[in-house]
Amino acid sequence: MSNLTPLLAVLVTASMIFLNQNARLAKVRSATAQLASQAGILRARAGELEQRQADLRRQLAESEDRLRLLQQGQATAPSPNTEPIVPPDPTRQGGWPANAQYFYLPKKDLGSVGYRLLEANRLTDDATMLLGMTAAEREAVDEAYDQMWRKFRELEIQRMEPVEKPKKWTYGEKGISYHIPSLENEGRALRTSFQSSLQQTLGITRPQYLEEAVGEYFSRKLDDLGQDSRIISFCPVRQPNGNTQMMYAILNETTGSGDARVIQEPLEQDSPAAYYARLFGVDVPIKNK
Amino acid sequence: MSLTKTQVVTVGLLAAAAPVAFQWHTLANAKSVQQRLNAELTQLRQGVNSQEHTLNALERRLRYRERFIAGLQTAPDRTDFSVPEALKPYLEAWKKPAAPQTGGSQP
Repeated sequence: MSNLTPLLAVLVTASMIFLNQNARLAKVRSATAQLASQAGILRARAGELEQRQADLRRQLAESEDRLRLLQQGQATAPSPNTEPIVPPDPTRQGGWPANAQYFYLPKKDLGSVGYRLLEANRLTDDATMLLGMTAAEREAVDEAYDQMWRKFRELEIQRMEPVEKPKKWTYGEKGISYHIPSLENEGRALRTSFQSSLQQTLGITRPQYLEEAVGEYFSRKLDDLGQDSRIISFCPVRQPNGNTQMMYAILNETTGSGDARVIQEPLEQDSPAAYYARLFGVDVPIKNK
Repeated sequence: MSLTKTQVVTVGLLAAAAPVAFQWHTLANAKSVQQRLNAELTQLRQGVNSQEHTLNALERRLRYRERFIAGLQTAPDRTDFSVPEALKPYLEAWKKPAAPQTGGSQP
């Protein structure tokens, strides 16, 4: 009997270690299965992008041919009579002159003009027209924005780490959550560089109007360029009718405020939820272009 | 034959060590797979990010070209389709800082 006591102690301890390891193994395997699924979705996305790139290159080649033909045709064709454009009358500033194609709008009033600045990470026609950009200026601004966007996303990818779902979200299953630390300094540097590109391209005045609109866009679409640390989650939520839908939630760790919503309709392509779903490798409905 | 307490403990330890060691090894392998997948995910994300950047640039080029072609078809004698020629002086004035309002001044 006295010999059995230490033997039992050894066996109980070993069993406890074994069970503990078993639980950890189950967790690791479950996380690994989830990662494998995310990787599968991302590989599929990479394949789609490759296909889309090939399509675009083909379309570009076709448009190149069309352009060449058009230019050749025009070299021989006589120039048609075009209606002369009458410049606006400066004495009617702010008015609505009859029979004129243009009217004046004081620059100071531009702040109250409602227009969409960017769409799918590109300047809209409205913004380009309103700020009187040439094609070259528009391209330069689009490129500067795209550079900034890509660098910001690159930083997010480098710093993000998988975490447990925040306790704040009491509903929904475990799902996928990532913590993205504050990128305040990096975001500021990116913004400064973007502003500098704008000034180089557009001079002094126009970037002031542009930046005002861009600030609002950054806040809505890019979480103020990652100013605060965040936890972004996608969790399946079982609905009363038995269906399961995905919940998108973002928690601002600095302020403690959060926002969560169930994805019931396909997401807009350039919405933050669609971006993070693609980044995390979460399968959610996204509108086609 | 009876075993001493030390012998019993040793036998017990040996018997318990095998499954624990096996489990340990399996866990280490699973963690290594997880790490590898995490690294692969980061690479995939960076790759997708870079692909999206290229795609954006291609889409922009295509859009500009389509606009250029459309402009060429509607107004063949023009080369700049953003700003009408007659408004160029006003555009130049636009690029300068706003002057104080003194009535309808020409740019």
